[in-house]
Amino acid sequence: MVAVGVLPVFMPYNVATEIWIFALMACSFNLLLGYSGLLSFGQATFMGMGGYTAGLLSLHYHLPLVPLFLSGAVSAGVAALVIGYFCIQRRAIYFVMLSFAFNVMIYYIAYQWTSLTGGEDGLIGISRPDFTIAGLAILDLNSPRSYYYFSGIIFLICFFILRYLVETPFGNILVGIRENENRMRAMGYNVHRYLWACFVIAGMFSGVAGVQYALLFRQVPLDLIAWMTSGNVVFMTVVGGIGNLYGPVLGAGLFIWLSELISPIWARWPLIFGCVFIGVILFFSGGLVQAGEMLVSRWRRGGE
Amino acid sequence: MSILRTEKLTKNFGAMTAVSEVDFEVEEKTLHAIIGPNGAGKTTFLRLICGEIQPSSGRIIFRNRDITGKPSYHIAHLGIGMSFQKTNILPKLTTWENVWLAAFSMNKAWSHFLRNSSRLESIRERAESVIVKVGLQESMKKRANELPHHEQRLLEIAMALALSPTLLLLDEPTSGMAREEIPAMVELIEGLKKDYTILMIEHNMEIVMSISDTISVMYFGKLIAQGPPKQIQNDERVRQAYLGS
Repeated sequence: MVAVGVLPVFMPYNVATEIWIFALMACSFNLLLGYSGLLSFGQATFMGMGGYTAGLLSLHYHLPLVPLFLSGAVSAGVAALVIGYFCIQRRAIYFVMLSFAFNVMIYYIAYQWTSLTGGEDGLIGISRPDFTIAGLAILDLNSPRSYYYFSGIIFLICFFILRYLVETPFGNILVGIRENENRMRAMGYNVHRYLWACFVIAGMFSGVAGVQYALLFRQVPLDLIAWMTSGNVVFMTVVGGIGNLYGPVLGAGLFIWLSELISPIWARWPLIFGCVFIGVILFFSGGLVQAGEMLVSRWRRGGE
Repeated sequence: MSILRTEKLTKNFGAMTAVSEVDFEVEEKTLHAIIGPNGAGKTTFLRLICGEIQPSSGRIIFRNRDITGKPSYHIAHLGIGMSFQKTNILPKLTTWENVWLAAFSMNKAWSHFLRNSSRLESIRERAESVIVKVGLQESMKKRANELPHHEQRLLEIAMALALSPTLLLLDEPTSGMAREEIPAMVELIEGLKKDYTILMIEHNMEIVMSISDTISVMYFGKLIAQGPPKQIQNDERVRQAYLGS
């Protein structure tokens, strides 16, 4: 919460907003990888679904803000319902490849169906509706600052829902499935149903992130639904720390910060991120969160 | 009254027949042991009953209900709890979490899924009572894969018990245990006899003869003898199967 407050001190509002959007995206991905043990290499599918849905509804029907978010989440959820049904039939690398294949398929549909999606150009000219409740305009979101705080609050709401979720029996069951699927089945758990539900929930949160993204840039670039985005989310989460609630947030922050602030200065910025990535994988499998914890404990020991 | 019945139950793995046309019955509130040399198909037989693998042919009837072909999670809900021969726990979770998840499994209230786990009193009580029953109170907070072997065996049984089953399947509960650890396990199983129907595979003859009500003998996938311990001890075919003469 403090981070949402102080982040814009260090960087422009739009960059900070993008950080929270991808933080939400990485958190939803982490629900799959960190808790259920499913590595989805197609999370951009759902972010894209959310983005395109909100973009189209805003362009053609000028829907208000809240319905935009709801429809984005629902359409991403429906996509996850269908795609998830097939993906969870398999595990490990086969699950990865299935989620990836669906991502590629949806990407090409978005690319080819120019009349609907704008093809290579994406959707452009989306307007940001005011935040209204019962017809009363509460907040004009057109300034970067107000949109930043709005996005930050959306992120916090989603983050707290996810944090709550992993402490419910539902979250515990997912971890149990990650640890030993067969035993969970023998104990009476319909493993498929839980994984499917988890896939849909993660998809919906990714959809929300997609809506936020569309409204931030007032456009939906084709890249939003491309597998590169899926891959970036994997990087963010792994660098930040898998299976920890704060890890993905940290990873997304670092990734977006590097890409937005350093890329204008030095186009080879992914090199830095690549080094961090390798370092993390080799030395801290728990990501930056684990590295931080180790530093803190060493510092404490040193102080004694 | 019989609680479990199989009719011509058969399982083929390719050309190999692991379980061959077994007709079998377990009486309610008895301890029924299955013995037989290695590779006789005993474990396969239990895995068929708990639904972990599906039979090639034949039927399984549990409490007058055909459960053939039902998935294992469904069978667990009908009241069959399995404790595995090869320790099959959730390795990185604590003893408490292992048992808690088993205890929660029989919860039917949808609203419970979305409440904070630590606030579910009824589940906590059930998990606690099972942990006390098998005597793992001291190791509650330890990770399951860090427990000594005999405690992992107890955890196996605790996880099956937490499902509140009517029929308890125990696949070699003493497997891999040191001689001095075995009496405690036998005592535990004897204590369970009055509350559960137990179907158990066990290699240790001393244990089998002392605590079983009925013994079935399997040999190359077939059921070759069945009866009370005394009768089995004197059965000619059983001796041949074991002594190979």
